[in-house]
Amino acid sequence: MLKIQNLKASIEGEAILKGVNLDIKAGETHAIMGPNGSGKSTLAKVLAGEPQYKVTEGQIFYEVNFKDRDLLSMDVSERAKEGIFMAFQYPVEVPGLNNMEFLKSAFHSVCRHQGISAMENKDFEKWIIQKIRKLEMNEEFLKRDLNDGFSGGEKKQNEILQMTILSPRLAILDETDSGLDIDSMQKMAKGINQLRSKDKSLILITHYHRLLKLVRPDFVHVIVDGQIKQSSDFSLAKKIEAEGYDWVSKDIH
Amino acid sequence: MTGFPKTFTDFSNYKKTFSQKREWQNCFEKQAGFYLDNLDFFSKKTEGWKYFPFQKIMKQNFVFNSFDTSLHKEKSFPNLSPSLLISVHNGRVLSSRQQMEGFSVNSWKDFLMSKTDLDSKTKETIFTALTKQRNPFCSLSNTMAIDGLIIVVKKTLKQPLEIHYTHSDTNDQQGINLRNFIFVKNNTSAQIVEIFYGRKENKPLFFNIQTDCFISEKASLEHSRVDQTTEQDTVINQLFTKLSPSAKACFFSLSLNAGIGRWMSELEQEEKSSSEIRGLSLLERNKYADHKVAVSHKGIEGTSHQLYKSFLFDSAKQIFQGWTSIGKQAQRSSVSQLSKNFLFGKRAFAVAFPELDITADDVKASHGATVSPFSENKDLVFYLQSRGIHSFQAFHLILSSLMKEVFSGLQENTEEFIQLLVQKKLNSLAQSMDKTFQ
Repeated sequence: MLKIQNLKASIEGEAILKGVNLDIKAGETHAIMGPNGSGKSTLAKVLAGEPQYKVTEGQIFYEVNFKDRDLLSMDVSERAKEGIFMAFQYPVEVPGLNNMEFLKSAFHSVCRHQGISAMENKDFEKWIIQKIRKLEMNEEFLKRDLNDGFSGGEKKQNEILQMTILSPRLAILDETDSGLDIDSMQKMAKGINQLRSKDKSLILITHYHRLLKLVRPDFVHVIVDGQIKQSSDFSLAKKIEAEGYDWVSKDIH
Repeated sequence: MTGFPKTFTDFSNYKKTFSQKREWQNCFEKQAGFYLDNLDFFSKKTEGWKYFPFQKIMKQNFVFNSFDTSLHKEKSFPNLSPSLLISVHNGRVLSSRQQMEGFSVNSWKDFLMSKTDLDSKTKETIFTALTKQRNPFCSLSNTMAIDGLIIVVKKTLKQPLEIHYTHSDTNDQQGINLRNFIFVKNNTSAQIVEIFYGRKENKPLFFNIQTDCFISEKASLEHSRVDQTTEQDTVINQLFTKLSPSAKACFFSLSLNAGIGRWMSELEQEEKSSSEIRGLSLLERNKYADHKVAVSHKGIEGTSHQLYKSFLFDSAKQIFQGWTSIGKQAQRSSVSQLSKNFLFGKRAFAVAFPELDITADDVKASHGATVSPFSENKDLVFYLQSRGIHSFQAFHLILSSLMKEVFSGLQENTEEFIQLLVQKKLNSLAQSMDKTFQ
């Protein structure tokens, strides 16, 4: 589904990613761990198309209708419409933009692109309420403005709600677990697990083993200084939890 | 005065009519040009002269014929029915409703004498306003206006009054100079929407419309001014309002198209009266909007809240001058002023002066202003795009969300109407929006 080859990226002239290689197949869940500043979030943002990050070298191929497409040539909204979703670490607040209206715009935009006829407003509202109940979230979310005055936990929940509504083929969760209490994390993990299927892939960017216990990844990668230095199965996450990241750098040297 | 409207120097009519008011007449007659160029508006004496293209008006020879109200045929308020068009020509009312009268200022004295349905207090109020010296534009209207409107709301109006201003004359330079009066009587409420249209031929129009507004005790008025003119046009629209005790008012100005637009609101508030004064500018190219607000609290426990937002593309300019005064007698007043300006064009420009003048010691007051490039909001645009929303729609949604608070306080039908115009304008700005982040 996604092939990243020798990806190098920078922001304001500073190189962050220094040759990332990663291959993700449909149905797989990959966890990316690494110390602060190692390039985890940069990788997520480059995949989503954040314009501030400049790709200086390398390629990314994303499978669309059984064909590999050059992801870097697709603009931000096109990537999203083709099923790439990034859950933000710090979701922005947009006072004045109703959450329901926003979800409706996003959903209809994706539907239009995929040739699916849009739902009537009433049907959409019913459908979204079913989704929100399934996620054990408060329906009041829909009446509020997009992330406006939301607590950190509520913002993360809203990201999961958006992910559920848009049902992406490739979801990238950028430290979505940070700042969440145990109950919220369990709720969030439930939402993520509901999305998992054989044709959908996940990239979980996290510092903590605790999320990975709830959303068990197929592969765990450790990124250090802009490169993936270690890749293994879930056991790697356990080792990181027990020993930290120092040994990864030492192993390389 | 080179370049000054020729009819400005023809004072024969008003001299006859206003012979007892020599003092201010002379003042206007001798100093009109000086006044217009140097007072009130930004002038060459202040750094503001760079931003106010008043010379453009001065160079044009506008002719103030009588207000030919071949009104716009389009129904611009589709959600309000029935649409009401007030048409006044040389003092003759072509179309009106019971609460309204058109009049000719030239013969105002005779007119007032003849109006048996206007009470003496109303007549006296009109008389006083007509002879009051306020600022040059008002003086121009007082002396030269030959048309106008008197709207007396005696019973609560169930439908908004819709007033359309335009000119069908195809001559190059035309001016519309009107003197209007609005009375909202005790315990009644009204919604009034004034819409200014440019000419279809895109020939310049100069609107100078001065309105005095009297809101009696426990009465309420929602008044909106909507700019549907063209880039060729200049609109000077000034509203002088007096709010009696416990009266309520909501004023809204929408600046969209005029090359030069001044939307002024001056309020005098008695005890326990409240006002919301809102303005929105959505301008591109070299358009200029000047929103001036002056609120004077004269009695206890009054409230006034000013909120103005501008979205400026290309080289558009906006000036907000807000002034709120709370006199010693106006204890426990609550006031606020806020001007937020978003710049899309690299040469777009906004200036804001939110000023408070407080002598009472028990008040709540706040004021503030922001001017920022819209590119600071790129995180918002990216967020929406990352959900599959096209960049233009993302801009559209963000701008609409930023504008939303300006509409709060307006009644649903007015908001709906204004939103339609704003959305239409936003669509026309698609290209400029895309340039913002390039």
